[in-house]
Amino acid sequence: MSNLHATAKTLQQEVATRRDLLLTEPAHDVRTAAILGIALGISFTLCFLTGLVSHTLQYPPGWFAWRSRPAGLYRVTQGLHVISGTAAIPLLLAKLWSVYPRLFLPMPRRVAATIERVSLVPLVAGSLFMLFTGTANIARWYPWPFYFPRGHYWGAWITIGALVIHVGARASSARIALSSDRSVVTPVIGVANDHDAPRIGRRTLIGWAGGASLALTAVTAGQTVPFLRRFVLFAPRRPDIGPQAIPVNRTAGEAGVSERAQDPNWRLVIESGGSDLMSLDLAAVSALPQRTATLPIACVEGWSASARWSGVSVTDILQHASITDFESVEVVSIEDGGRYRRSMLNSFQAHDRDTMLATTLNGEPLDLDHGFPIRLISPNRPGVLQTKWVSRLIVR
Amino acid sequence: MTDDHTDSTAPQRHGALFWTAVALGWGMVLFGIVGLLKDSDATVPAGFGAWFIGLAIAHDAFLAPLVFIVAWAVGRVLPPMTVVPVRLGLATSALLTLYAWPLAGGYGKAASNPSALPLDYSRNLVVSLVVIWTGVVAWIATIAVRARQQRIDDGGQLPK
Repeated sequence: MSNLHATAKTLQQEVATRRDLLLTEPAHDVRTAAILGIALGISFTLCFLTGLVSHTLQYPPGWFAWRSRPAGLYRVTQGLHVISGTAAIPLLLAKLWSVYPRLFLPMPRRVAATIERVSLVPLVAGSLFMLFTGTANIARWYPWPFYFPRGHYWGAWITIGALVIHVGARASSARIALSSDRSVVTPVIGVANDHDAPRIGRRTLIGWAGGASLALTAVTAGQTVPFLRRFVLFAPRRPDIGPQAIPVNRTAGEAGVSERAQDPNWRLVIESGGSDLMSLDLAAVSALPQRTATLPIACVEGWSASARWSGVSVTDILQHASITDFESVEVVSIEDGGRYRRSMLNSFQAHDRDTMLATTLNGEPLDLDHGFPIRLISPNRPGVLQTKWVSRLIVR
Repeated sequence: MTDDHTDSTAPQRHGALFWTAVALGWGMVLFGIVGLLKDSDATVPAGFGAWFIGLAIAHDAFLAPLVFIVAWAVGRVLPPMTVVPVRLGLATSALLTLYAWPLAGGYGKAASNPSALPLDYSRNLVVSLVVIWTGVVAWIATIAVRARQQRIDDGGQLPK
């Protein structure tokens, strides 16, 4: 037993020696941690705020009304969400490698330092969790038991809260480490055990993290940034691949609507005040004044594609049913169920002339997977709320 | 020993800014935890917790030690001038492979939706790894040529 105790003590001393040696190296010092930390802080903040935008749009509180302009704003926010998250992966791994020896520091005695240390658990676990689940989600891989958007959302609050604490704890030491004279280099001592192999220096580590971050962005961001499209190697979507050269998130087959969407008896019903005011077949919808607009279809998963949509403006179709005074419009699909069977157009969106029930895409009749016979397309909205296979408008 | 022994700025760290950040930050953390628990039908808190902590353990207990061990082994086995390029080549390859794994594995691919995951990600991964290692070899060659030039400039003899 005492032998075991002695071995444990020796091992503990060995770990402490190695840790202290590593912590004297520039790649593991406060300055390196501060530089990587600032880069991570910026990308996480951007990721959190853009994620919050999408969450708020999908679960809008009463006081909140998202405008319909600029038309491409949602596209930009969600492109940034996935780009900043992807770019953060090499930064996070480099940062964790840099500070890893600190994991083996003993628990501090002071209360403040203990709180700071304990708060690292949600920060490190949350950071890994957010980047892992986000990356797996865009690859449509769900190895966990929870519903991704909500787990990712609540996880984001936990992670960003822990980040706030970390920034508060480290702001002054980071400022001092960054403002200190660059020529003062912590001496690298006692690496003899590791023989004289070259070490990864501060510049090399930060250069690797920044370079890997840019490279990963370059081979993935083409799913939303047009000029990067030809470099796409690892994006889950390419904006020019899909029916009518536009990607599809949920096909008619997956939604179980293939037959009903092509049924000649399909009708668009306009409902107001609890009663059906009008019922139109596709020919009647197509006979109404037509409108054409180039609008993006933009997914929270970071891909987006612009297309030329033609159809009937929601305001025109409601006017046809003699409805001119309305606040919001609920758009309902022929789908039997599912979270995105219905979506709500707020006042800004419902009154925007480019909010339309589209019947053509890039000059061709809408493909079944894009929502034939008619789908909603509206400026500055999440793709999942651009309801497909529309069968009913409920005026409120 | 405290955790401040490597940090000469310790006394300034836990001032008003820190305590404000603790109040605000833990408020946000608790908001997240309470929200997670109230939304338990969707979030499955036990499963969420297992993944949340499990990923941290996977990193701290397996991935990070593996990186240190491989880096150490590279330093032991390879000639010094190749060590940094090879370490960075391995780090980049590992990063890219981890990122591309779910795409190349096609876990989310559905025959019913060909526009999702439409590329040949396995091929793209192999091509990228070839490019990375071509870069590593070119880097080592540059170091070797410079070292050789340096020896000539110094009037030293070329190795036999």
